[in-house]
Amino acid sequence: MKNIIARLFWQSPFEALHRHMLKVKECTDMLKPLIEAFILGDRTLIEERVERISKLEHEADIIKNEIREHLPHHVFMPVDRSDILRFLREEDAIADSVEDVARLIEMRKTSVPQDLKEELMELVNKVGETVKALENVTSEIKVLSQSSFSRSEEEKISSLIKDVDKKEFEADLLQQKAAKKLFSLEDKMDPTSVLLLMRIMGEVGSVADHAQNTGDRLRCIIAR
Amino acid sequence: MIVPYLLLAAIGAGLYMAFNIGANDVANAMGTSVGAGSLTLRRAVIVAALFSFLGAVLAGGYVTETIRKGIINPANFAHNPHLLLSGMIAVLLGAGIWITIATYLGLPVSTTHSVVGALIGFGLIGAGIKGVNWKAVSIIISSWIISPVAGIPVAYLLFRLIRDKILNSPRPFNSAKKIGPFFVAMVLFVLSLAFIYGGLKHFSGSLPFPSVLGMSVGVALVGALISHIFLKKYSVDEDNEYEEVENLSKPLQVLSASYEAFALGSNDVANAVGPVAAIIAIMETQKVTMQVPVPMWVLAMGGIGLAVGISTWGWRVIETIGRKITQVTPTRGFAAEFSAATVVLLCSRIGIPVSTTHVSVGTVIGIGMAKGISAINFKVIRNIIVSWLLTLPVAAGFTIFIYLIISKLVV
Repeated sequence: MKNIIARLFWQSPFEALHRHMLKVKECTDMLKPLIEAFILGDRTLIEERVERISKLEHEADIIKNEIREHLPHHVFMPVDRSDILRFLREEDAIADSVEDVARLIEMRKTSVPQDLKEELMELVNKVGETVKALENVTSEIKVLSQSSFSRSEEEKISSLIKDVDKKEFEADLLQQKAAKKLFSLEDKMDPTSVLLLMRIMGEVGSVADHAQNTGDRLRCIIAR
Repeated sequence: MIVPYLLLAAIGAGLYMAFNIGANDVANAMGTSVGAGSLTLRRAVIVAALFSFLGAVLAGGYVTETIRKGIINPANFAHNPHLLLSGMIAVLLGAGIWITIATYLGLPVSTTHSVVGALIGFGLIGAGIKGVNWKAVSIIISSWIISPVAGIPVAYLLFRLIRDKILNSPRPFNSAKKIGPFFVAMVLFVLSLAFIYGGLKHFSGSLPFPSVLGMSVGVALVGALISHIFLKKYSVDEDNEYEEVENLSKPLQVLSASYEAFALGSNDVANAVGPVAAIIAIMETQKVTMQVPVPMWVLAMGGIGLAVGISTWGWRVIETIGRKITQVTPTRGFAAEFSAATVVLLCSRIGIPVSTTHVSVGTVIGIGMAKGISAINFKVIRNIIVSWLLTLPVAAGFTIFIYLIISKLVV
């Protein structure tokens, strides 16, 4: 039965945005196991994990598309519609980058030099922390809408976003450190491996970059 | 011989109209309480049926205009009162059928506007173009704009008050405990003002305004004191303070939902019982007057019709709304219902027949503008405009059609 009052209310995008974040987080949580398998050089383990990442990325895409389809122009929200869509795009780019890492690792049998392992794991852990920090932020979005966008809740979210920035900055430093280490080992390695490892580390770094951008987008949403 | 049949037909048509009001307007008003989880479906139906019945019987007009809002001048029919008899039945049926169809189609029609449209139809067929008071019609048309527009600022301001004083504070739960009694006092004040002044004057005689005011202030202060004592002791683990604030607001929402049902019953029952009362008066006196008395049993009949409409069809409307609007919480629901009821009562005191459903749409939008609701579908505005444009001509058309059939049968 159709009813005017029931039709007046549109599905809130905020809970779905967090649902999307949880899926993205699930996907980035696979990054560490993937790199571990990469360091071990276990091809079957790598393939298994790449497949898992690819599946999770696809599931995140589905949620993303659902959110987009449920936000037509005639829906009126306390925040700007295009801000939300930009936020969603960045949030989704996190999972896309994880999948790119997976593809790069899968496409060529590359062995990781013993001396690079520590730096690589450090970087991956920091990137994981960055995404975790972002997840802390997005879990507050629902509370933000419950509070009808109250100033105290906005301040709380702002300070949580700063945490994401801090982690991303640290991840940048670790990426630089790992790159230096890689080039210090270049004489003992074939150039293709150096090139590919460079690209893999860059893509791992961009997972954190996209997490930071997502936080930035949220900043725009709550700014006034 | 024809007269008892006409009376029965009139009562039947009046009941049908009251049924429609219950199933539509009242159900629309109660839905948010179920959506917010302040009332279960069963309790919402009981509250709605009880309070709209009380509103109809206690506060419904004991004297009504023969023709609602003076759309037609009854003097046109002074030479032939029986014309008015069959006309009134046609009006009730024409308006009722349109409301049923519109409800089925999901168009938010106003019961008041449908009756007005039906009266225009009858005026046209019974007395020609000059038989209709077009100035009165233009006031009705102005209400199309007034009803949603009046709802928006009232709800916006009320929710802004809740937002600025409670939700926006560093400790929302503590603020709610502190400010809660003020809201209780405000609701009780308006409620008792409406109840004593508007409603019970038929029983208490007309009390002087200052003493009504004094009584209302008294009720408000007692309520504030009791809630203050209760809230002082109230404490919970504060995991999510906003949710605790919502829980605290539930009683307020139930109170304002009862108020809205009461307001609806007292105002809208005239749409159903007015024409019936007119028919009875014409039968008894064989004269046509500007105003007619409404017998107690007719008001009670209207109240029963409302209650039946709520409990047969209306509960499904309430359920649909409750299931779909999970994002309404008690604070938002309270702001929406309280401002809708107040706008409806104020407008009807001024003499503008607003549609409760349209006012409710306005109040929800007002709360959305105060950032209280995550997402509002503005497409419904199109449905409202369509229903505005259709209601008067279609209800008029139905009435003309039914009137022609009745006059063939009677003559």
